[in-house]
Amino acid sequence: MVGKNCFAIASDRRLGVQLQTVATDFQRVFKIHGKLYIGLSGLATDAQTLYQRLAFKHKLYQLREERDMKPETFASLVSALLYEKRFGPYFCQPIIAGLGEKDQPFICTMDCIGAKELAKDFVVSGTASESLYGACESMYKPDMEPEELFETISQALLSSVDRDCLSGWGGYVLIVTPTEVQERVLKGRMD
Amino acid sequence: SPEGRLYQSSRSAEKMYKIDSHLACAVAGIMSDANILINTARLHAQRYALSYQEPIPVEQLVQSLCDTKQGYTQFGGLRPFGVSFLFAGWDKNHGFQLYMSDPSGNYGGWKAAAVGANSQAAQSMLKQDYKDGMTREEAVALALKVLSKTMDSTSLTADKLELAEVFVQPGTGEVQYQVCSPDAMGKLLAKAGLTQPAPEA
Repeated sequence: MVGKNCFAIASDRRLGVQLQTVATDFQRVFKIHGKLYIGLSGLATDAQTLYQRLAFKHKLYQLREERDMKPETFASLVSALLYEKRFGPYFCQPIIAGLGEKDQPFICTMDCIGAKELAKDFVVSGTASESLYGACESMYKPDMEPEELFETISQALLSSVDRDCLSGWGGYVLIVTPTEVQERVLKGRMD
Repeated sequence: SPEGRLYQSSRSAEKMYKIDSHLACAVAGIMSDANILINTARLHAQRYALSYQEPIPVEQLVQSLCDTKQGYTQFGGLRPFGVSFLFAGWDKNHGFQLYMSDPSGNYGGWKAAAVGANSQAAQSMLKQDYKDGMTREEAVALALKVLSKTMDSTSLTADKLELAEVFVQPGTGEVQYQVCSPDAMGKLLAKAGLTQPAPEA
């Protein structure tokens, strides 16, 4: 979700195999650099491998260009990487969130074969995405400050995952402003 | 050391390259050959990190690069890479390490080494003046002293030199590579007593 000169990215913490819960501290939001994060929902192994491949590519970019990648560029990289596997895809839907030039927030999502969808307000993905769309649409307002953004995104996340049996076991929220990054773990219905 | 006052590079250093967060190298020789090898080194380091999810040990990276260099001396009818490297890095097995390699693909681990023009003179100076257990500041001062005595130019200014360090950041404990800025370089040279005094106006 986009706020005023900041953004927030959040995920639930459940890792499960159909009805069985395997982990309650699974990390789905990964850091690319200080002002760029990617959230990967879907198949856990693909999320981890995709993140490792992206970290590889970004590292080489950083070494050659001596600077961090802009979020827009990174989104194109992710899209290209996913489309390379067009006929045997990674089963992941990424959410990319970052602060671009002049610390302007940038968010986008894409499907598992790289179709980019830019948005100015919020993007969602995962098994609870339909509930998330509804919750975000009703709770979102533009230009929220970091504290209010945190409240909004947390409420939207927790209420949506409660309606989905495959999501839950707490939440993890990251608020990124030009000067600092705040991480918070939420306690919701632990089921 | 930069080519001269007309030289303009977009990179932070002309002859120093970062290969990974914990590994850097300095180059002597044909720069175009060096670029190819640096690229290979960077890819190799990242592929290792992708497979093992940990940073590549310094000697493994040096050895793989030297294996490539050696191949060009034995197979293919191609000419060897005209590059000597000084690799500086840290890994959790052996701590901080320095390696020197030459176009034949031969490499060795050193406490102090020099490559490039006047390197024999520099190496013998280092042999006399290097002592074990030097601090970071002492090592920098020694490097500048050796360079000032072995470089061909008459006076030593910040724009003729490059200095890069691989060190442990005191706050976070992470290994970092940092190129010395021209201002910091000027101060270091002044502290070491190596700059020419400013001419009287």
